[in-house]
Amino acid sequence: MLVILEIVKGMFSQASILVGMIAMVGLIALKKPFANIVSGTLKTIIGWIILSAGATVVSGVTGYLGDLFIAVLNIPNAALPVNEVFSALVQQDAVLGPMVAWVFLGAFIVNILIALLTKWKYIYLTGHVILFNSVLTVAMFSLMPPIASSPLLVIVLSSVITGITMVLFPTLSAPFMEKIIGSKDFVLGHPGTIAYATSGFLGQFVGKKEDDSEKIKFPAWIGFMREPLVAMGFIMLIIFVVISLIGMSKGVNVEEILGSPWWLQCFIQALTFAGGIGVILLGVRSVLAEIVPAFRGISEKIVPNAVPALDCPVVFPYAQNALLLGYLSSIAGGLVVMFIQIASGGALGGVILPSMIVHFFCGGTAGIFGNSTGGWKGAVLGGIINGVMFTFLAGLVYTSLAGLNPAWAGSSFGDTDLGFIGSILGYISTLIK
Amino acid sequence: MIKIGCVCGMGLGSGLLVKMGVNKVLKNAGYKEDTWQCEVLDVSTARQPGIDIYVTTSEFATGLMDTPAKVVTVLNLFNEKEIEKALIPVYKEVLENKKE
Repeated sequence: MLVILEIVKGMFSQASILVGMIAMVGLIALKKPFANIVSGTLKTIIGWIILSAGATVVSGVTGYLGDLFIAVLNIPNAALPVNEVFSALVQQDAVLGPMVAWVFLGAFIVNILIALLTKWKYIYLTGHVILFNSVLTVAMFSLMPPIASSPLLVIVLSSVITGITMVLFPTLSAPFMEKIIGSKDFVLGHPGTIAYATSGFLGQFVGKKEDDSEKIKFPAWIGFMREPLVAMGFIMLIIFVVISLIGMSKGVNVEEILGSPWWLQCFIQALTFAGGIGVILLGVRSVLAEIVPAFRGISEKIVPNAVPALDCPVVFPYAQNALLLGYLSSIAGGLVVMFIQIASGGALGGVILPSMIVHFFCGGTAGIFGNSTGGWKGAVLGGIINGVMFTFLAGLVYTSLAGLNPAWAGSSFGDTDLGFIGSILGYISTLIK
Repeated sequence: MIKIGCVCGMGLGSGLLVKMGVNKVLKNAGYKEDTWQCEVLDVSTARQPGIDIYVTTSEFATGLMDTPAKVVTVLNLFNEKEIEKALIPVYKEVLENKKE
């Protein structure tokens, strides 16, 4: 008996196996054939393990980047907010990883309960965002000793908060989504909703929606910017080269940090980072492949009249130019705040470097929301709002996250809603420490 | 076996939505489940040999147009009727070509 208990305990302490079991339960509930249950469960576990491998790749690069920032600019708190990267790092942790897996399941249950029992009938189908939210809440509660001492309490509180966000933010997006897609078929389930709703609301004051951004023509070369992974590698290359050049002009031996020749190392490190994100994406994709359809199938049976909350690219086809305008103006807004963060000398938390993934998806979506009420001027404003808000919030969150584990330095969460929840929980953690 | 690639920016959220839609649509159309294989792909690594049909939005379709695969674009990723209308004729065509 004791042996069996030990085996079960051992398995539950492995986040990958826990996530695999969530998938297995989902597949069994949907009465899938035995072969599908076995392969689906194994693929989910493999996905989680791939996630770890990707985290190892990117953390090497962020290490170099952090060393460069300290040696050249004396900035110890520079961070690149890529949710995928930070989540992959945290799930490697032996204590936090299994809790994240439990919250991933708990959040689904809370979401279904809210949809079943209240008038807010939204079911959140953006699986990776649920994972990010689970990581964020678990990380934040682990900073509060009175709560962190009980893993069960961390799991329950994190599940409740994550579950609430899965209904709250889609509700916030609903009135704007109706304007954009012309129906109530679905709402938005993406963690930049605070910026999107603000953009949609303020858009009407800066322009007319008749001045639609779809009338603008963009040059063809901008096309590569539409690939988030490539854009991410490109911006990392720029960051590495610029900091190295500043370092050399100051007489810092950057080749001592990066290896030689410095320019080749910059190139390799930047693209290694993009490659690492590619690996993480493959991992997340495998984790979600069985779990999200299972969640959808189960929720449709329990709450048949619910409205799905979907990932942000669902609005992309409705205003492609607004997407690009929002993307570019978000980068501009983010850079301005980054320089303010540098000038503040740590008073505003971390220095948040431009993360093209956040700028593309959140900035672009904010642009589309702004465009729906204020035309192209609204789109530009939307992007700026997103860039300013998320960069500012991510800086605040970084102050809390940086205390978690020195090995995770240089990485953080991006999107506004994550920044909003994170900075509130981070503030609470300073009160009850 | 027909290989279908469901493409979005990162290959996480909306690609999976498309995949669920495609699987449902093909099943409803009466095709046997082991006659097609559906994969979620991100736009940067979507170009790979062996894919017969890409299903994506216009945003990500431009980079796939010069591949030998057929590209099906949809406006509303969640609308199964739209996926059905766009995909089924292309699917039939690919199926015919494979038989020859």
